[in-house]
Amino acid sequence: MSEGERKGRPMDEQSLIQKVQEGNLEAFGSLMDIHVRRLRAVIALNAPVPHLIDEIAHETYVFAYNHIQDFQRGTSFFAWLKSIAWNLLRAEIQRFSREQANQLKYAEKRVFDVAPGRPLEHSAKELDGLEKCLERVPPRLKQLIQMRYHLSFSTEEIADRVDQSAAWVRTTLCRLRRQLKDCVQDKMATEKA
Amino acid sequence: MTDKELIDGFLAGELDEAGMAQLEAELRAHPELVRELADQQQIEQALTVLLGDDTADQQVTVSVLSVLRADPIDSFKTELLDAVKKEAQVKKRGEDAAKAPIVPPPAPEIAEALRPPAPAPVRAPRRRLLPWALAGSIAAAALVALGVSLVHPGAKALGADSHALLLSVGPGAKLHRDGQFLPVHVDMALLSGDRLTLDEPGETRIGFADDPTRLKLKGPAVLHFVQGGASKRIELLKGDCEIAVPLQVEPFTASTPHAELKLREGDVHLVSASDFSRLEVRRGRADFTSRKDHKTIGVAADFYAIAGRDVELVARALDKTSPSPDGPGVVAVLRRVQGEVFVFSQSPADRTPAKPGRAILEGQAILTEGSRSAVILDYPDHTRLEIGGDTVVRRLTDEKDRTRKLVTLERGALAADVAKQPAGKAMLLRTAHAEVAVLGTRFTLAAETEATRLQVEEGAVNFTRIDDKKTIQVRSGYFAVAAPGKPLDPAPLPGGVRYLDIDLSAGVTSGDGEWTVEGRTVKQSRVSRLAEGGASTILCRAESEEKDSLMLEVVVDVDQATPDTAIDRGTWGFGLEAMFRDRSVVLRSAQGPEGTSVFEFPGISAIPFEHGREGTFRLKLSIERKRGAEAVLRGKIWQGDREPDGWMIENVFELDGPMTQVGLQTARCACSFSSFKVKILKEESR
Repeated sequence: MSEGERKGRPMDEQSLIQKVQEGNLEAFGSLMDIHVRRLRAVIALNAPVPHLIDEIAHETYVFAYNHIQDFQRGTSFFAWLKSIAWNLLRAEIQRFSREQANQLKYAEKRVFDVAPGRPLEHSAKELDGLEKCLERVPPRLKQLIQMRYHLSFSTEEIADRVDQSAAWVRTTLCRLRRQLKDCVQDKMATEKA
Repeated sequence: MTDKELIDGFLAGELDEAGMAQLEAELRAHPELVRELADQQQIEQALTVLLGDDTADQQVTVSVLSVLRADPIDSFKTELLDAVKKEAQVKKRGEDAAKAPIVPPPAPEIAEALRPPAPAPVRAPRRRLLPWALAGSIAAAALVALGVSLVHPGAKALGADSHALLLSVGPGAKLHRDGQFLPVHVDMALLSGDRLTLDEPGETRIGFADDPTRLKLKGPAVLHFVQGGASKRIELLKGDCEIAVPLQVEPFTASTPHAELKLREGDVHLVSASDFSRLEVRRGRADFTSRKDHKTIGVAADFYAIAGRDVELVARALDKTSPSPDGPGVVAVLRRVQGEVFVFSQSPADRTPAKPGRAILEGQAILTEGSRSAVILDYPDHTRLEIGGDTVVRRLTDEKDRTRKLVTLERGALAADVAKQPAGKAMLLRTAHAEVAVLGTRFTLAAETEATRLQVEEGAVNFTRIDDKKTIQVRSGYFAVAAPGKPLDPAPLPGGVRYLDIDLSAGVTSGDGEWTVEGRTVKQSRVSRLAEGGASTILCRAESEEKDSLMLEVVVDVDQATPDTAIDRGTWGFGLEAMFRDRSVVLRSAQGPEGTSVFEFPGISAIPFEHGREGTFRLKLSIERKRGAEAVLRGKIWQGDREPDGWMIENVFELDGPMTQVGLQTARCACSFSSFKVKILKEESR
């Protein structure tokens, strides 16, 4: 590897943590970039309402920065983030249910009521499973997923592009999510066994 | 709607009030559905995060850093209060200016909102871009986030729900605020007085902070945001806009230069053109007032109304029925529709959206809006017109002799693939400057303000200038321009492009297929169930020179593919063939069970490729002759009318001699092939 390449390579996580512990805020930005997507995804698997995902991610990082001296270098930073997020999420769900759940629509309220309350470690494994299950989705259906979740197309837009009805798109996406959920559960069960 | 549709609609945020009520009823009646909904939401949220772009990630990162840098709390408070003040000022100006009464926010709330903020919060600062701020209330959420209670219980701060948000941003969008243009982005708040301009075709969506009112603005367009909140108001100065409004206390108001719309609940489509405004009501009921005479009419669902300088304001039923394609008076049928395509009888203002399969009656005209819009129509004899963007075709048949095709191209462009016409009844195409007479060939005609251009791909046509009746013949590979005072002469197409004649009428078929040729459309209608083979080919004479480089193109409609999924019989596909002296080149799509689908030059190279079992595909095969026997083969396949840049597959192949035949292939599927052409790219020096 050339010197230039070495200079251009991002710093590893432990070096970034050290810099943050020395008070370097910009290094914390780089550290956040490493984990922000997965942290949000893990929270997403447990948040009863989508509004909480980014809120909890935000507070997790703020807490982590303010307590970075407590972090033991050499251990998993992501695991530490997850434990912070889990505690914040639990507290936030309690607060949310007290203060704001009554503002939810009926369907949102029912989902909120049955929201899972498992440690985020469990959700991290679910996330791994979900990523593996996604790889098995046939390309034709992957296209639907891309349009919905990556390109944020509306159902009508997707229907136009795949030359199907909106009802077909909705039904297919619903079935697909069910299959993904079942696939994730199978993987979790297999792992447990 | 089924449970699945309801759940998906709910997760996508696309359920209207009625849908939401239906979902609630289902959840109450079937408690087990709650678990399903929760599971679905869990996967929905995870997929949204995992597969979404990095905007949300960046927002989290930026918001954390801004909090940790410690400056934003005060600056955020200042920005917030500035925004509230500005909004109050703009609102006051709006009150003075607007004709219709605008409900002003209660004065005490202004006073409360402008009261200096409380001391620093005890609680840790939260994100600047709070999620519920996006959904509901920047001001209120920010104040809550700061741990500051500036409002009395039950009171609402001014500005908390009075803004709108950009939910998506189309190309060429810009925002004019306080005398300057601002860069626009998703989630950006629209404030009273903002002017949103869309310079290019595309969609920009706008949501409101306090309820699910949604606007889908289609460019080019200009929208002036007057106010949100309980009395929402916009001005659509140009362009068209889909508007969905949930039940409002005060009606949603949209003004245009010619009319004013008031809607308490419903879905409408509002068009603001320079000389008229048009309202279509899909759901609910709207009041539509003409500015010309201040006359107001009620427009119910499935009705439309037009207001303009020379238009009488009346509500008419939307024409939702399409005549049978083989019914009386039908002259052509729309095959493919892309973008904004309309059919009208008298005036473009009196138009209805066109859909594939719609029959066009005598006297009806076709209008496409936007450069990317297009429509293909077929006459009963398989003559085909491909009408491009921003085009008006006034007539399709001769008024006096309905058996003769007479196309009036008012503006824009079209490509015609004309089947052989009866003797003495040449198809005529007219523009302001020229007339084209044709008995059977393929060409493109473009009418502009000052001139008409004709470009002939195959055969020859007579081209007459209207001014002086001068007629010339334009042959394959040539073009001509008719314009007043300019010479009317055929000239070779730039680059020496010319097309080979393909003798479709004398094709030789082989394999398990049933081939028919109708006009210039070739059909293979048998879905072979053979375990071995299953392919079928038609080869037609098309002779090139010894070293011609060639480009083969065809449009393929897959009518039906084999339902078999077994490995040995599951493969189906279609392709193009070019036969040379001793060997042939084939480019095809071979669709098999998962993981086996390819786009390939069989035996040379292949790439994984899978597509749907139905739909329209375009295939392009380039054969570039090099020195000696070497040829570079390139291929691409796509759907839609936007050809992808570059090639998908490429290889080198040994070829000897001229091309003698071209062919079409199918394997275990029924297809219709159209616009089959062979272009000669260039000739190598021998």
